[in-house]
Amino acid sequence: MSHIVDTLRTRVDSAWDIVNHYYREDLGQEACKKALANIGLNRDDYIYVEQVDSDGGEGPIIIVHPDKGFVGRPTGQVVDLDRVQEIYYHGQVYPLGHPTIAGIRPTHIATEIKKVCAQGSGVIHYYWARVVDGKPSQVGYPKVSYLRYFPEWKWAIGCGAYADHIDALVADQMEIARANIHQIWRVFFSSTAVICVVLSMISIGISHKYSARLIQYEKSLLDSQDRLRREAEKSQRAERIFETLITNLPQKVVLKDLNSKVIYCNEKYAESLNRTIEQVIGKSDSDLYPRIVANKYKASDWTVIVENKTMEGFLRRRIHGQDTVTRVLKTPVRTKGDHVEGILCIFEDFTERYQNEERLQAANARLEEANRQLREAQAFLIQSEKMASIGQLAAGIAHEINNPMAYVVGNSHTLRDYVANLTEMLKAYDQHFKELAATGAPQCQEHASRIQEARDSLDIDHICVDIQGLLDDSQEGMDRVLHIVRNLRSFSRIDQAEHMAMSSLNEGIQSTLGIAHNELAHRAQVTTELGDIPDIPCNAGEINQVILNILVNAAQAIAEQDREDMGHIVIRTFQDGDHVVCTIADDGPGIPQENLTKIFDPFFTTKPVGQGTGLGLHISYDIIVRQHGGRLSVESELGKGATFTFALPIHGKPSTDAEQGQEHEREDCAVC
Amino acid sequence: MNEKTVLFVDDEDRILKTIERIVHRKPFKAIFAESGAAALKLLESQEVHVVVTDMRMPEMTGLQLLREVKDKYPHIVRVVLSGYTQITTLLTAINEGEIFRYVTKPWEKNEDLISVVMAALEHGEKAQAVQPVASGAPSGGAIPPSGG
Repeated sequence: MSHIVDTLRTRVDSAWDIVNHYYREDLGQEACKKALANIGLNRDDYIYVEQVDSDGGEGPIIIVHPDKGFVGRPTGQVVDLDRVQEIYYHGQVYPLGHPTIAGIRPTHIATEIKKVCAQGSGVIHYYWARVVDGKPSQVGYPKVSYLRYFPEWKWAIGCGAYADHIDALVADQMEIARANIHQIWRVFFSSTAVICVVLSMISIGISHKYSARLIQYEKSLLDSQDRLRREAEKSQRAERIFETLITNLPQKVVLKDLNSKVIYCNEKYAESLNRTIEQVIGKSDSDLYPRIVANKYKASDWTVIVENKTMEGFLRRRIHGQDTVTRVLKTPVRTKGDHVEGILCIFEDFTERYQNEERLQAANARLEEANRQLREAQAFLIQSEKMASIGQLAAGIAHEINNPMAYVVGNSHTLRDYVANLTEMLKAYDQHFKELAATGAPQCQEHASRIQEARDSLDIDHICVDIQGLLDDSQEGMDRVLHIVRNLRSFSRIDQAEHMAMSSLNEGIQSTLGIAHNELAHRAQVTTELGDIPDIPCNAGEINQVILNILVNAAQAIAEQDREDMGHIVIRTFQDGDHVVCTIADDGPGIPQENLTKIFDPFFTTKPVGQGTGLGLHISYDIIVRQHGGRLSVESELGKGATFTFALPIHGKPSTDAEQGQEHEREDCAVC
Repeated sequence: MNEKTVLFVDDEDRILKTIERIVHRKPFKAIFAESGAAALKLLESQEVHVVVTDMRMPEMTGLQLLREVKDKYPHIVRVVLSGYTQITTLLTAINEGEIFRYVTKPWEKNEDLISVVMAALEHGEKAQAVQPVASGAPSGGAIPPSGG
């Protein structure tokens, strides 16, 4: 019996240590109660705790007990010994008043507890109405408990053992012993004395075996308590770390169940909703957000849950007139079996970073644009310089040709006059000789015959006929040289000042056709339908460049067609309101639709590398639109040629505002 | 009526010969110089009514010559005959040299050149007729009568 009491004492002392630990660590009575309730032994062996100071007449309140129905109730209510009809006594149940149990009065635990608490600890004997099938039994079972008082909380911590339980253990051991005796009896056929000796020996053995089992039992109990304590501490530490981490995170964190109800959230999340954590927990998106927003959030939650994978994205919203960007990370919370049981959402304010990135991108775009403009300007300058150099060279050559041409032309005119005189003179000689020969004088006839011989041998008749053609052809050649020189000068307009001057567009077209003659000659027939248009203020040299550019492009496009016949280019000019308009239409291959918007862009070329700079039409655009305030456009259908149209204002370039307007118009078109 | 003299200046000998052929037997006397310096030397010894000069010449350009002629012999009518038609040069010649005509090389017809020279002579004559009334100064009185 003392072994049992020792075992009970050990259990109670362990429980007392736990209580003391919770008290000293200030971990709270409730947590402590939970810890004690978890020290599960078996249905009949357990730790219980009574709140001694709460006795309201029905005994102290049970605060820890494996039977949850008992917790919170006064002991007197739970164990109503008045209902007890029978008493357990040494393996048998006797009705009250039975002679065997005469004099036995069931003692109530409540009174026993008070006695022991006064002395700190001790063993109490009492009767307990055991609960069978959810109802207190009518049998009063004698029970022994060891109690220890915890004065700080006024708790009585106890652990008890039923007398019938102890009896059963003893009976079991006796049965084993009996079986052993029977075996021994059959083997040794021993005498009663021997039996006695053996019995006495076995009795000692039982006692030893029983004690060994209890010691082992105690040990495992202690181990279990120790493990529990360590695990509780570990769990508490992990919980504290988790809480510290989540609380101090700069992000808003919320954990929701499958119904989108908040299980846990940090303060940052609650603050963003102008609520406390307690006000948020248990609420769903529908409670926290406007319906439309909540539905949207739920839908995205469900995507994460159904697809069982992490989703990351950015949420752009306008809050209090400010554009905000939130980085949202939603990840499913899985059980060990990989089933989704909730969703963890992390919201991070990305506005500043996003704005910085946007600013950086904008700055980068500006830089790229500036770089592009710089390259364009550089190429533009090179091309313009090239054109100007070509013009200057052409003009220089023209001037150099002019001097020798002056005396060639002048002399040829003089020569024509001389030849005319000589021919006239020859005719006069002829006439006189004919007259002399007609006189019939033999001397004269002889001279006439010699003259005729010389005339024939020198082919004078032929020369007289041919000399005029010779002079005419030479004149034609000189006229052509003069025409070319004039076109060169007219085209480059090096003779003119760089400022705008009143010029005839029709004359510009004619001189440019002269320059482009070689390029066009074997490729296209050019028809001009030049209308009666007024002179306009323009830089004629530049306008001629534009015409040349369009003509050369048309000729090259026609040449690429591999056609048998010549191409056709029709140049028309006419007046349209306060503009003079020039259209240059070819029947070449045409321009694909996708290139039409890009055709005036710098560096856009369809020619092989090295053959086209992609600047010709861009510079043309610059000349017509920016410098002259005119319009330049192109229409084309694939396979049916292309028509370039440019219009120049009769009264000169419009004001700057209108110019800017056209700039935008063009940019819009390019975007379209 | 005194025969008028026209001085042609050009560094290109062939041009002068061409002109010589053109003005042959025309109602004025033609003299020729192959540089500005030679032209000024001739002017010192002869009365000249019209100067026709090229622009681009080594050492002394046509413009320099015309400036000097304008200073020393303002009554001489000045004509430019040049293949160099850059607008800036042309404008300078007109503004600083106060020229009567600017004829481009090559001229289309020989008669065109002659008619310009005739018009210049006529212009000079008219100016001479007006000048004594206006200023009372003798016109080209210091210049000996033309000869050789």
